[in-house]
Amino acid sequence: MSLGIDWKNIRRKIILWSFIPTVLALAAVALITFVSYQGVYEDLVIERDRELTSLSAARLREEMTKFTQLLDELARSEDLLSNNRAAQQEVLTQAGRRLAVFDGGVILLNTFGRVIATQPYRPEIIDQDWSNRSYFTQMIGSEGIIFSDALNDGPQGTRVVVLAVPVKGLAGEYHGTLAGMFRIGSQTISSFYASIVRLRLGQSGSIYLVDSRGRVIYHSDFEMIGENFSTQEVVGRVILGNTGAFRSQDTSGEDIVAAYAPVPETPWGLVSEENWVALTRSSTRYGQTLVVLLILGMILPALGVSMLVRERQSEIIERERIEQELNVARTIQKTLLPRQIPQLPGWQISAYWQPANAVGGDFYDFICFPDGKFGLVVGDVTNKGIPAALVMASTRSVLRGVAEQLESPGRVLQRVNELIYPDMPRNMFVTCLYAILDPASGNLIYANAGHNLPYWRSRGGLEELKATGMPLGLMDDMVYEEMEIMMNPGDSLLLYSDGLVEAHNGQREMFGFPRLQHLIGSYSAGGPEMIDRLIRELANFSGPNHEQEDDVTLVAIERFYGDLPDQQTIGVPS
Amino acid sequence: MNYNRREFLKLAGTVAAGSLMAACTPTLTPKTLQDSGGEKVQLVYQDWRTDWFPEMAQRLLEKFHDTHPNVRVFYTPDPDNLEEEMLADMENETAPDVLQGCCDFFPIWAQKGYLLDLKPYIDADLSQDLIKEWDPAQYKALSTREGVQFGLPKYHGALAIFYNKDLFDQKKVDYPPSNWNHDDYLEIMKKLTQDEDNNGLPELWGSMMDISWERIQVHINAWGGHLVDPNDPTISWMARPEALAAMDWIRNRMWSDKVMASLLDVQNIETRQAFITQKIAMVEDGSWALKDILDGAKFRVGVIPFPAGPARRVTLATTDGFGIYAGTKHPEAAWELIKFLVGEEYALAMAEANFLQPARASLVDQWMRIIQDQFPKQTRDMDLSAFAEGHIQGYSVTAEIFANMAEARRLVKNAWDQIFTLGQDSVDLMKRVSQQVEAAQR
Repeated sequence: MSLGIDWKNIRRKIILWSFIPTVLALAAVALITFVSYQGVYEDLVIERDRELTSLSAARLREEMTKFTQLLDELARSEDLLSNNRAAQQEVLTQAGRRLAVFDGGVILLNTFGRVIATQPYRPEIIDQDWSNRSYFTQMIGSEGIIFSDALNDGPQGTRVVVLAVPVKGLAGEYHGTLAGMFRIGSQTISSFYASIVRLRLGQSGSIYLVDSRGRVIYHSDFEMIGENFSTQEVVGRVILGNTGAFRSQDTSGEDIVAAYAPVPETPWGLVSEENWVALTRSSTRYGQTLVVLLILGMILPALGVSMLVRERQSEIIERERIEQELNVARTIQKTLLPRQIPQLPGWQISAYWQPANAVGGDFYDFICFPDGKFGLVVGDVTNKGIPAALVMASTRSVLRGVAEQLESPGRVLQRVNELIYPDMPRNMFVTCLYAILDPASGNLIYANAGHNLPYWRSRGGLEELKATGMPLGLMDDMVYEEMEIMMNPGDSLLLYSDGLVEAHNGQREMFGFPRLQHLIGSYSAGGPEMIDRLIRELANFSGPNHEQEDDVTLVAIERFYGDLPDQQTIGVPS
Repeated sequence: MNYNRREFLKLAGTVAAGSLMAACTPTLTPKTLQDSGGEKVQLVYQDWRTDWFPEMAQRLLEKFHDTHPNVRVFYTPDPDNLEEEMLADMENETAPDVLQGCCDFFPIWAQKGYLLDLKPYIDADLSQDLIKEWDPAQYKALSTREGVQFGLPKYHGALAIFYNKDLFDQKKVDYPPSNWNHDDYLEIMKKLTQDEDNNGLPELWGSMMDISWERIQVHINAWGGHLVDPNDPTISWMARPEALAAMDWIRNRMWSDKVMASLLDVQNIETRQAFITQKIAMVEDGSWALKDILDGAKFRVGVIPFPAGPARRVTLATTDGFGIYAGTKHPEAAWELIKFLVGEEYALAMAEANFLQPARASLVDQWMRIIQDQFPKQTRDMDLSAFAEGHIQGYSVTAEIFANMAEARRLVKNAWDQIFTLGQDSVDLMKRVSQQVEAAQR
């Protein structure tokens, strides 16, 4: 029945619309995840840079220890403690190779800050009063290791940073200051710089070291060495002794993370400026991956559902096609069954045929011979459906053809067997009962190819009509026993297929022969009434939800004493 | 460079692909600095801390900077305890990008994977003509048994015999001929040794040598022996007859003939100083001692190749080289620096500064002229080419190295002190020491 509704279109629209909230939910989850991740990641990046810079500053201080140890070892030399200037100078000269790391030279100041020895020898500064130097004045107070800002104390007034250690006697008394100098400047290849560079800091940006006045004493871009960075916010923070990190912009407007930390026990501050884009590259990649995943998350299910829908539609179309073909097959099969029940004076013939599927393997046929005799066929092809229907069609045709040539039912079945056996599909065969009735005399000659035994009800009671013979198409060279009875007025005969006796109920009980015998025996009427009652009994037995297991065929013949009621066929679809 | 950029990249690609196919291990593919997009690179270069080295290095590096404006190299001198401190630095990834090494510790760094394999760079960037200029023994000593070329020669120190021509003349002893052998050596020592008061402590000794691994090894090699099995660094050959015979020869000169001074005979002063102060007439020393000897000697100095032994003529080549730390962030720039360091300019600068004999054979003549220009009087008739003979004629050897060299050195030094310096044991002691050394390798 069709109400003009395009169910396919509606179904497609439902599927499509159900995607929109799913996609929106996915997008929202992805966005929230990414924003949260971005926030946490950026915090971590900044924190990581802060930690890294702080650690690097500590490592830099440790590197400086190599140099201060060198000075410290020399400062313990006995000759350096003497007041003999020549001996003191000799100590420095002898240590010249070890002191070569100080490319700005080494100087020895006495207790009052006068220069008394140098390495290399710098006669122009010997005896000069350098007591105003920070590394001397600070020594008075602390007597520890002193690191200076950038000063012009190097040879020929070159710019240097100074590392100074106290010269102490055995009792700890102060004898002077030993100061090693490192040249600074863009052209310098000082060991001091080597100590910083080898730490391999600042991988994706710049790193620099400023003194307490904001002067750059080292920069990864060496052209910047000597510049005054004191006005920069980050430098302002680090020279106050603070440690931290923040997002900012460099002079060219690039986004950076500026991290800063003072170098412990020195007046220097270490600053790293890392490129924000480079630092967050992995986060950006994550975002891109998320977008790709989101797109895939939307497209893949859509594609999946679309394919599923298409598959289902194909299945429906295919099923409809098969159903249509089956309907055609059923119609064709119906044409193979007798369209009319033969009208025989004094006889009433009824038939019922109901396949389990659209088409079936059961069949019956009536053949009217020119001499007034009447052929009666009931057959059952093993299996059901199309294969059985095809075998049924061919068997029926062969049998009808052979029956027109031969009179003997046994010979007919024998010949039919010979003809269909070679082409019979494996595991298939046909049970068939063929009888020839002489309506005038009531004589019935029959042969049976493995079919259910017909029931003959007469004055003598109910009797099975036996005759031996193998089903058709099963074995070659078969002969079929022929039997003969005389049907008198009042007698009736029921031919049936196994779909009736082998039907099951919900308790898996079989309808069975005893039940059938009992029913036939208990009816007074034969013919259509009996068929009608048997069908009802079968329906009651099987139950309301029963699914027909096998094809059911019933053919009843009854001989009357007088006028005949109308011939009927029951259950044959029109 | 003998390749244009296209050829270079092609070669580099071939080398990288070949290496990958051969070993399926990650291999650095050389690329030119131009490929790095003009990035400014800072390198740390560590080398000797001698008096003369820092100034020379700084001056030369400025020249390197002129040709490599994007690279800044910071020189740092070797630390005092180079072997140990470098291992710590390498472990902490704070080692210099380019460094010098030698002796037995340089291969140890390579074995530990701390040095870059230079082979792909060499294959792509150095001509065969240049490679042939290096002493094969020295070049091979800068590679591991697995074929990792971890260094390129820095200079070529070679062992020879310095002799005091004035003393030879005074004693009317002929100068040694260049084809002399150990028997000649002994005869000359005997003629030169002078013990006027006959107290067993000569005032002048015929010759002297350092009792050290490489110096003893050279004599053993001349006898056809080895300290270490050439095919297995865990097997000792120092107790084999050839080795024992060579050591016995040295001991007999010191303690039987009394013609070769021990350290105690010259009051513990260095062999070089003993020669300069004329306590000995000859000394087994290398080209690296030239500057000190010419600076200090107040007499005419002669040089002669090492005498041949019963089996062959041998001299020692040093194994000082330049390498690249495997953890460097700038291998291409470091390779550029290495090329500069093994180049003509740097070699001649080292020759100028301290008479270091160049590793490249083609520079030997210039090296000799530099020395002759600075010491025209002392080097008149001096055959400086004696130092290059081993290199040119291919009879140089390098120090043989055990797998556990530190323990081998310790055990052997103690034994040699007993045998040579103190004369308290015979060379048979080496049979026991040899077993101990082998045990230490397991």
